[in-house]
Amino acid sequence: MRRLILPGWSVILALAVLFPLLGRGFVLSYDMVFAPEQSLSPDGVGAGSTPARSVPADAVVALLTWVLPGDVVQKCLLVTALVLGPWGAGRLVPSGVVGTRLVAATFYGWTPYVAERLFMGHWPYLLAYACLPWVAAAGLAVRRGEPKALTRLVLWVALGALTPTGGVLVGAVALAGAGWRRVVRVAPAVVLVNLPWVAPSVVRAGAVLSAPEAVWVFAAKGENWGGAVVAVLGLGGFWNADVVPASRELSLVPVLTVAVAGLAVVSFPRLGREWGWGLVGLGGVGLVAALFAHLPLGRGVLEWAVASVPGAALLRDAQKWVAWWALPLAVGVALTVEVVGRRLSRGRGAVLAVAVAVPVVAMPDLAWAGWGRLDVVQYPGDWGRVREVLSGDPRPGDVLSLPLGAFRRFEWNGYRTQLDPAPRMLPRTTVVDDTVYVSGVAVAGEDTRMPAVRRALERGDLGAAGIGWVLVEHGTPGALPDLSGLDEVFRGQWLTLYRVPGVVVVVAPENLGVAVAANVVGFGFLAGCLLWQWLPAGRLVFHRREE
Amino acid sequence: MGKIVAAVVVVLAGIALAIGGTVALVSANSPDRKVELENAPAANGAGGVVDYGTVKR
Repeated sequence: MRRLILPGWSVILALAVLFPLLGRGFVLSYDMVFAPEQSLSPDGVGAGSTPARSVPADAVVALLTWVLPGDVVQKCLLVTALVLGPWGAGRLVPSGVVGTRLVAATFYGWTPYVAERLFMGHWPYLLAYACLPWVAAAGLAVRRGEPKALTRLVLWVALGALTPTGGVLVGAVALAGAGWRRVVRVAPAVVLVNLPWVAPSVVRAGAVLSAPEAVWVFAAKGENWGGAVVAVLGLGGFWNADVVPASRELSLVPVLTVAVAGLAVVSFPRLGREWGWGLVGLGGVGLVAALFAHLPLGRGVLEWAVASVPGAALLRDAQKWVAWWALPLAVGVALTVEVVGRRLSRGRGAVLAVAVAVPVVAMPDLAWAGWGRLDVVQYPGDWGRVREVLSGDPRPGDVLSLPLGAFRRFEWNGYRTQLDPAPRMLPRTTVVDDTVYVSGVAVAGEDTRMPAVRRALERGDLGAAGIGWVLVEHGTPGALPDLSGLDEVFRGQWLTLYRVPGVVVVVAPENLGVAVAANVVGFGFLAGCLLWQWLPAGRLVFHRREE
Repeated sequence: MGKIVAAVVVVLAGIALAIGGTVALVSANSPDRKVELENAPAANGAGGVVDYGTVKR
């Protein structure tokens, strides 16, 4: 029964946030877009013209929606992310006291990081964040030389590595947990698991470079008088003020943040002895990385890097690296509270209970879907009808989504900002202008195909750019060009679909062979690890080695 | 030492309660955003863009 307390508390924490969202329908907020049946597009495996930013997440979701409805897949992923995180953090505490585990679970599972990434729709980051304690535990098991620990580590890394950022987050924790003596075994495994996004990014024709102004726009920001440093210290500081919980802006928050960090630091020597210093040190690296743009010369170095070094665009939105700090912070606080409880002659339970309550009470506006910030909606029927038209027409060509712009605000979704759902809803490759606007200022996109499509749109010659269809989404801000030369094939309240007359050039996916091979190798490696974990073969070989 | 840290934990809880209580009170007294949005016009084709986010600070 005692074993169920921690997972039970983790489920309660998750349901306190997600319960209003568990009905049928989709949660569409900023970058989080799911579709009833997501298409497996070249972009989903890294063979498109956009950077492999959502690889292999899109491919995995597409495969899952072949089996389950998209909204069910979405809820399963969100619940998994919000349950696994606190559960894993509680298990990681080097103490058998249940109350201590609950403190760690709450301090890990109820954070500004979770709130802001959830509201921003960064579900793969949440999943990676949730896997960190499990990866750390498996890494520590590898360090101790436990049987099958490496395969267990690979499987947890794989669950967190659904995006490049997730891959780096869990990969670093795997290496830090296992220790430098095991790096020869762990590093190749981590690279193999991340191959689905690494390989297409390496062979991509155009280097993935980013606009330098994006560094400062997406850098960590302060939430109150404490500034960016204190905000990041408390696992907050996300760049987008629109998703920061109101409770984070209050004047008392920096006091609470510094005090909590102080309590955690008290237990770092013990953590260092229990874990080795890798995971604690990585927490410090996370803090520095998240604040790098605020350091002397840091902003300049990052601006140069993202504009000059292929792949350095991964360093944008640097606050995401603070996830590494969350583990030593949560576990450190819990251990300090435990030590305090032991020294008290009475009131131990009360101190533990108070400590468990602190994160929740201090940020109540994460509860109940952010007090209604998120909601469940249904796609209008127009989307299904457009999908049918495109599925049933053999005419070649990709789809261009209009108005140009990556984000939408529809009445049917409560005017929430959301990513254009067309690429995931439609059964063909859909080109979206990935320029993003922050406070009205444009940050250039990275789709190598978009400049040619934009020019073709101006010339009225979309077929030459491989565009066979134009989808106009209604009820969302954005200007429309003259479309009088196109043939209308569907018109609804929310969508109009046009066919582009004339010859349409077929644009082949980029490096499809490499992308498919990388996915086959990556998933094949995972399948091998799964078999090794569950079949007797692994045990037999291990026993022989032991002898 | 233990009592001092225990007192710190209790003070932290008080601070947390103050933060949470303030947010709860402010939120309870703010106008219902949904009511305002019911009359918001759809703006497609009227120019403008959808912001990815806001940098206030």
